Amino acid sequence: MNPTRVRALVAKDWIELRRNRQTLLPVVLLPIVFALLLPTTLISATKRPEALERLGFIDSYLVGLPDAIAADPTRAMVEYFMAPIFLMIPIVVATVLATAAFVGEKERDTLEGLLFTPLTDRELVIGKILVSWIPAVAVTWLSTAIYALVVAALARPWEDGWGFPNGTWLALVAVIAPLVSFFAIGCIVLISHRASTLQGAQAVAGLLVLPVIVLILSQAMGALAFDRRVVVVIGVVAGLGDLVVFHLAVRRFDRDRVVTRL
Amino acid sequence: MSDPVVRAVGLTRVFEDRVAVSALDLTVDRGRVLGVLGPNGSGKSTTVRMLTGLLRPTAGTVDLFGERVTPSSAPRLRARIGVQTEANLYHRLTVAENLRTWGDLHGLSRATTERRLSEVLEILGLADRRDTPVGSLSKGLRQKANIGRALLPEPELLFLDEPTAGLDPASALDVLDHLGKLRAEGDTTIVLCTHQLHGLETLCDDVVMLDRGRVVAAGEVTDLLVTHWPIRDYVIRVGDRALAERAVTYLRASGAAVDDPESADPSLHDLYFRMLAGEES
Repeated sequence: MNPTRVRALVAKDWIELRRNRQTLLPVVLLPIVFALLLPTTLISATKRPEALERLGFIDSYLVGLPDAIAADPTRAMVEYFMAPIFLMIPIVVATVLATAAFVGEKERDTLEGLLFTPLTDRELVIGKILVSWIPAVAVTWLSTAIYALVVAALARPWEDGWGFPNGTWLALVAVIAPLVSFFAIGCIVLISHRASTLQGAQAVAGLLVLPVIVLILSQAMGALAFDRRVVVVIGVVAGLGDLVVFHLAVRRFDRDRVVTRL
Repeated sequence: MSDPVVRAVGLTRVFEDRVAVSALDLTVDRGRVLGVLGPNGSGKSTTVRMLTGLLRPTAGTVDLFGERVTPSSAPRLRARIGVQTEANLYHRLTVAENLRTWGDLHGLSRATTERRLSEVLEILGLADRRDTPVGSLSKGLRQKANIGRALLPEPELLFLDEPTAGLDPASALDVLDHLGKLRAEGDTTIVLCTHQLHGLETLCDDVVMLDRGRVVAAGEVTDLLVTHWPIRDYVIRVGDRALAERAVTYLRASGAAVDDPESADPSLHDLYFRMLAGEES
């Protein structure tokens, strides 16, 4: 593999992404909503008993948590409730950027030019994955930093004897987020073999957030607590999924088929 | 004698029930220009895609620089090739950014890329559009930038697919002139696919004519022309019809078979070059 060629491909795509407001908008909005607005609202609500009463789902949600956590609704919101919601960030950012990077090339009739260059199939696939994976992870980490500041400012966890981010959260953003975003991108690469328009690819890619929505709902209904065990299970599943989708993405990337379908 | 730069034997590609290219044999020696001529849908683009390893031939083989084109050898061989096709450049990138990306992908050093960038933009008359986003260029200027992208890495083998499509007549002549210079220098082998034939006799050494994927004529241009027109016609230009008729009478009296004189009406092409380019072609 030639790193210079991969770097050239990534640099080219990042210039394009920077100048594409339609693609950048969700990437900028997600941290604002998930790391700033939503936590601010939820933490503020848990600090006020009358607001807490209006959040009907809280009771059933707290039932599924360890007693020590359930006794502190603010901590429950910060450590547990927000965790699966945060998983949306790497998946959505990766999905938006990967569909632009892969299917966008097809839609704009630029892909054939790349195929005529010395890029190998593996370099092309890896370059395109990095184009979306690095920003997806970076945005997740930045969002976590913003979230930690919001938690520190509004929840003041040290006053109640707990700290944030805890080990589970660090594992979530340092290990799980990179793994799930890679998995999402790998799936987009596989989808892009067949999709020829951004709209079509994004419609199918939207299904990737379904498992996260299931996690959020399961937690809200008290069926599941997003604790260390859940993080380990997600990590193992995502890690195995990464290996499978990367293998398939490289193996199924066939210039002949790509060119024939352009 | 060294290997030919391009050698294809029995090259065939079938798409489902349609034969795009059938049993094509071609050889291009170093420094020569091959014209692949034919109407739309005759198989020219499919031929380029097979020669560069993008499409697998249904039958037949391709060797470039003496090496068989396979999925593993193709990327290495493509490092020695420049290709211009209908594929778009990146519209959000400037002309320079587009070409620099190609320099990096071809493994050129930054200094070489910058030198070639200036040279190529100068040759194509794009020096003042260096920092213009490609999406803001006219169709003709985009086509020039597309050709520039193929020329940038100073390829040993250059594939050009309809390079003059969308260009104004003067720009088309500029491009053909530059290809003529490359041919004269003898370092670059060119495969030129087109259905626009103006000026090709002097540029191409060899031609392959395709029709619905089949070769209808192939060989050296001079040989083909002599074979099909063994007797040359000569044209005498005079500005007076009476004088032309007297010349015909004299020639006939001398035993020559001469047609009646015809008026060569000036064309829009002639007017265009007289008004805009300041010359008559």
